[in-house]
Amino acid sequence: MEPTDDPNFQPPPASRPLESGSPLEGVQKQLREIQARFQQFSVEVGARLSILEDHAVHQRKLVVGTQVTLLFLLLGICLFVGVQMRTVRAQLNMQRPAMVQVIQQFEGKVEPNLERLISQLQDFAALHPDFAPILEWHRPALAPYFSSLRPVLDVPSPMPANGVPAAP
Amino acid sequence: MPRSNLLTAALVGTMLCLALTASLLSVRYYFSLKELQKLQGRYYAVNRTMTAVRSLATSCVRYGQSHPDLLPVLREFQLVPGTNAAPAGVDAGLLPDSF
Repeated sequence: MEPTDDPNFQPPPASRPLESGSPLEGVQKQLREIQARFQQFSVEVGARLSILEDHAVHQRKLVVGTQVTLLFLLLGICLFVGVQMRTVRAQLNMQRPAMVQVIQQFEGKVEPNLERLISQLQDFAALHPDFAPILEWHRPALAPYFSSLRPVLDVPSPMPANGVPAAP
Repeated sequence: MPRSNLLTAALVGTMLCLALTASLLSVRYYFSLKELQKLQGRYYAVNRTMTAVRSLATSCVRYGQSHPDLLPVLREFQLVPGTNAAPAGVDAGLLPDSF
């Protein structure tokens, strides 16, 4: 008889052999059959438990493997984003001073003069209609600096090659 | 079993830390890129405007060669070399050297 996993299981006490034809002989026979079944059941349960344990170990290994894979994936993402961020920050730190200087120079020095120049050129074009096409030619690129209150002329004509319209 | 649980907990904790780090780096990367794009956009707009201003100045100078009426305006902005100095309040030249 193999030992079972059940701690409460107690094997039946050894009984002395009964005489043939005794009424207890049938009971003892049934008891032996039950013991045999129980042993078979214990063996089957043990085998199934062993299989389940193998499955659990396998599943645990799969979970740990997945976690390690995710770990490396996250590590890769961190490295990638970190490198990208360092590149952008370096580019920003390198380009920002020059860009800010150019922009500040433009906003502080060029823009006010440009508005005044466009204004005076619009005044000039109002007195000299042959200058209007030149100014109109540049209006799309410099639209924010043109005053809409002073329309130059509604004579859109192609820009001459030398910047001077042909004489009428 | 407890050792396995400890390993799993350590792995999950490390993953959590890495995820937080990746999120933080992503946020910083996003804002840095946004700032760079904004700066570059403004810079390119300034460059486009300066190109148009140069083109306009060239056209005006060419026009002024045949129409002297425009020369005072051009001289005021030092687009053509003039004899009289720039009036007060006008900076030296419309196009700075840096452009």
